[in-house]
Amino acid sequence: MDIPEPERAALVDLDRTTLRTWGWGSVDDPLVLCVHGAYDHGRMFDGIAPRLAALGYHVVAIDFRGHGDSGPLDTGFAWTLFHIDLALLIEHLGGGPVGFVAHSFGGGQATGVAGAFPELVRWVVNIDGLGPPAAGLVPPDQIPEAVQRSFERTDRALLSTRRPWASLEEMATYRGRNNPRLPPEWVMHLVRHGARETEDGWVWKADPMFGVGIPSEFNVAMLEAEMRHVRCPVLLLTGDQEDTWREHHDDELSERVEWLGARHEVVSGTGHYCHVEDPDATMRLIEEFLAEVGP
Amino acid sequence: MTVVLLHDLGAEEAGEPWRAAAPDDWVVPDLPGHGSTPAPRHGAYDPMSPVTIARWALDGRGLVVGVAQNAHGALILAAGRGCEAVAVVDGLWHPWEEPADAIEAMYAGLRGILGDPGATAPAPASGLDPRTKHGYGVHMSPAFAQRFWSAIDCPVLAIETPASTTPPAEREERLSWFGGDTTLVVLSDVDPAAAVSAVREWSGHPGG
Repeated sequence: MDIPEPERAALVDLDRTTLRTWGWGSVDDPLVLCVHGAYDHGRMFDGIAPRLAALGYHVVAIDFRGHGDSGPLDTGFAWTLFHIDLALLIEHLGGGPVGFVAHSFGGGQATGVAGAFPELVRWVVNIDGLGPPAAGLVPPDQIPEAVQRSFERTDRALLSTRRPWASLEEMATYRGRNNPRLPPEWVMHLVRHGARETEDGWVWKADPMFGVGIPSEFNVAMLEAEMRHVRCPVLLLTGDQEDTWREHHDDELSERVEWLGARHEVVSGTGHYCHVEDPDATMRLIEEFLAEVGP
Repeated sequence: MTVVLLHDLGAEEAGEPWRAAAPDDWVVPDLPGHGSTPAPRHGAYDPMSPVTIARWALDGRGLVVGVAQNAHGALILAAGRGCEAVAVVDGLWHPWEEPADAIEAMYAGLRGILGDPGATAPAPASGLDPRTKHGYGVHMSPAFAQRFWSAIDCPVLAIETPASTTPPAEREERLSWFGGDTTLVVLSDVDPAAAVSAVREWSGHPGG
């Protein structure tokens, strides 16, 4: 399978960092931002981004801070920092409102930007990005131990060198075990662009500080409030196969769809990576959605 | 006993008023983005960076003092057994918010940052970074505070000044949530010297 290269690449300085962007289509067309999931990067949209551009959009995929080629993180406490990065990037690229195609963690980011800056967002396609299940939004039973683990991870991220891997193939084997539904060529594509070579071997580009947290308050009631802030049209796409990240009960899924006011479509035969596993079906559903809500 | 004091986020004079009031052997840094210390590498502020500074300075021993927005960090350190005692100045949290209000406040904070060019422009090499004025944007519910603070089993001194946002009628109840001995001192002025004096007196017998 031939995965095409982006038409453009840039490094954008904003919000005291540098963001890597990948671009497709005419810059005069309406802007669509493609935002990836945790520990991923913008090249995961290499498959559908050209197809979105062919619909008449200027498509830009980003590497979040702490991911890909973008700037580093000092702490893992960065959820809303990413919202500001995205809002400033929209301004940098000519202003909103824009469309979002957002996967997983990126879906949460698009939700936050649409809530905080409604004037910047025209619509959101959220690909399996409804946030953790309720069970994942409660503080741990043993708070001291959880805080201590956070301290240890912080020290490792700040003071240790990253684990080197012998080869991209070894990294692909690891990634493939964690995302067993991804086609092998896509696993290698994501690894190739998600790793960099050092004197000691290959290391993941993703900043180990990302995801280092402490027990803190973000509960289901806050998630509901966040989702109810979204006023723009939302298309939610989920798979129907067992997957490492598909943990919502049906009732929980329905509840969050209602909070978002979303149209929910299932991409049959896929798991967490609907747009990679079945790009044709994903694009068909996106096109139907855009036909209803406009560009 | 080693003492580390974390001044408030956005403090115009950084640690200087506290250094002027504290004994020479207290560690009172200018936190990143304040005074003589440059802004963090990624240019934004969160409660964990001061925690790391205090944690490395104390290495599990001694007393951490957290002022206002950095009181939360001091309590995080205490919850992780990173100190032997903790004092917070105006650190018993704000009036509680409903979740929808908390999200709206968080979003208002983000819009405030976006509307302040200095807060997103490259940070100054020294002096107060304008971004610090926008706070950490941290939310906490009473249920969470009760659970988190109950995990803190070391002695806790709470100093309340007229600058505190904690409803006075709720101070005692909130203190009762901590897992160890607690002491409340109410000052009539916002005065670092008086707060330092209260900490020194208490730290001689922090079990209250």
